[in-house]
Amino acid sequence: MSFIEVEDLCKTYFIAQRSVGVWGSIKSLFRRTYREKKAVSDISFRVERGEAVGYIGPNGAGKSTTIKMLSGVLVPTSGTVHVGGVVPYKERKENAQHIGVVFGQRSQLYWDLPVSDTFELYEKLYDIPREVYMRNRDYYTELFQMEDFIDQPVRQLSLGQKMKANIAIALLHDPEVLYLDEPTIGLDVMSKKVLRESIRRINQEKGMTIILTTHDMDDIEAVCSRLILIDQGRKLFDGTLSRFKEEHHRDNMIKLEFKREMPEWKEQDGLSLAEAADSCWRIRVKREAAPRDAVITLLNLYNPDNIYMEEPKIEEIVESIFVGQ
Amino acid sequence: MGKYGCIFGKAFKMQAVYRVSMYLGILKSLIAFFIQVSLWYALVGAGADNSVSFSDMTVYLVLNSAILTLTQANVAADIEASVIDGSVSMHIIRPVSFKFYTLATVLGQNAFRFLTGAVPVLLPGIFLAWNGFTFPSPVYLALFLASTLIGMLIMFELTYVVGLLAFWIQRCWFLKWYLDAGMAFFGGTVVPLWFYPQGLQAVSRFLPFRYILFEPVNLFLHKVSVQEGAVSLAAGGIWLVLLVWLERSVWLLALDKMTVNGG
Ligand SMILES: Nc1ncnc2c1ncn2[C@@H]1O[C@H](COP(=O)(O)OP(=O)(O)OP(=O)(O)O)[C@@H](O)[C@H]1O
Ligand SMILES: [Mg+2]
Repeated sequence: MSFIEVEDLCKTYFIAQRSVGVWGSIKSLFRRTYREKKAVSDISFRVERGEAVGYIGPNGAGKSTTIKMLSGVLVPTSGTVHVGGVVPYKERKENAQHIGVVFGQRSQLYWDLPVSDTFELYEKLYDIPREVYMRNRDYYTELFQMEDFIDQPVRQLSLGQKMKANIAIALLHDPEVLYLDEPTIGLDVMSKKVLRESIRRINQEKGMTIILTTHDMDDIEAVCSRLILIDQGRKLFDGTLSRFKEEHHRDNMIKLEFKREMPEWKEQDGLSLAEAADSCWRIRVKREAAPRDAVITLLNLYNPDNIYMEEPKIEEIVESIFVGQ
Repeated sequence: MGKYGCIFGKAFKMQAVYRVSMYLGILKSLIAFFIQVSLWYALVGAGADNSVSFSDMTVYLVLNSAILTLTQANVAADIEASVIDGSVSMHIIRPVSFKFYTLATVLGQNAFRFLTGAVPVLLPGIFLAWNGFTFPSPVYLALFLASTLIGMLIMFELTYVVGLLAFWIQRCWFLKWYLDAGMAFFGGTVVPLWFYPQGLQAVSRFLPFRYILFEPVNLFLHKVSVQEGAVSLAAGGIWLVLLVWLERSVWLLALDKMTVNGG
């Protein structure tokens, strides 16, 4: 049995319809009409202990809804969820002891008190043994570089500092799995980097299972080895990152830069000029052609001052999947 | 110290963060106390009703402000805020009961208010009431403490249920006005029920408000017989049981709404 088992999971929201006009709103006081919204439909997957899975999809795809069902906040409309043998929404308190959850849009910290106070609260809430608490507190304070601000009131902290603290408190009780719903939302490049690096280390050093939703594909590349892609509540892809890149492989791009007069472009097999700017060309290399040969050819033909390879980013691949639909 | 003790402590600490508002709060309660004392001295002095003495009135005012601080925290507003921003759902996936989490928070806040709002008027209160004041006998004191505890819990349950209504009507802070009005009118927090006409007194017996504050004070002042005191204690207890039952049913519906419909 896998650690997380999700079978034919569905979630339908019933959204109360607003009626127009005075008469309509009087009527709706007595009888409401509902519109159904299928946020998650027939999703199944399994996750083994220690895996780090990226759960991605466009806005409104159903990512947060899935995380809420996994963590026990929401009851599925149909289908089953098992996490470590427990049905999360049935045994909430039992489940709570084994999971850590962070919703990036929502802070769990005491606004007026320092982070260390929320740390102490969680020690009591989760009944964490003293030595485990001390060890984890020191470990995460160091990992997330929180020494400087742990004694500062939360209202004075930056978004990135609050996010680090929120992730740290979700981990104090040594959960077996960590659910992260958009943990890097609104952070700058440097903070994102520190966060990704820390999350990756937690996954590798502690062997913690991680499920991460994000809109930043760099998060996925840095942290996850596996990717689940959903759209409109349905699963579109489930597999390793490298398989994803292979299956949805796109053409490679090569950029040539000239510090002198631009040469004249000659058509070549497998190469095409995608973009010609003032002093550079972007050249598309057909996926069948070997990038190495293309580079040699281009060097010989045009002798550019500089040459850059551009690897296809998952972001672009995902984009092309949705554009291609 | 258990988890609820810790929650209590943090709530208390949070109130103490804003020093200036703490000092202003102390000042406010002192001023309010002296205004009330002067007002009632004038009124009681002018009236022909001699059953209520200056000393009684002062004790009434001191206890009034003390118990009010113990029942003051507005849980309804807190619950409403967490329902609207959705953070209430985080509580159900923590190993803690939402109700007791809220109760511990409220008690922490109220303990702080008690220290800054009630303790400062205690000294001038004792000084003013000294003449003609007798400390309640052990039986009355015990009844007083028990009914105060029940009163605090009744107030908590009332505001908690009102707060839970936020799941259906989104904005429910205005409902707290009705509670406050009920307290002021039928709970005797503005004008003691001693001065009420019979009809209104009778009505107030069937509402929960008088058991929150007025009955404890009556017991402290020996204004009722032990039997009458026991009866109102029981009435308060019945209200508490009813409210707990109501609150549980509402909570189950709210839980359903939150977890099945997604809030
Ligand atoms: N409580 C709710 N009531 C009704 N509909 C909801 C509710 N929560 C979400 N939905 C709808 O369900 C769908 C999926 O929402 P969800 O929040 O899971 O998307 P998401 O993948 O997390 O999107 P995002 O990337 O924007 O966070 C959306 O169409 C949304 O409007
Ligand atoms: Mg989301």
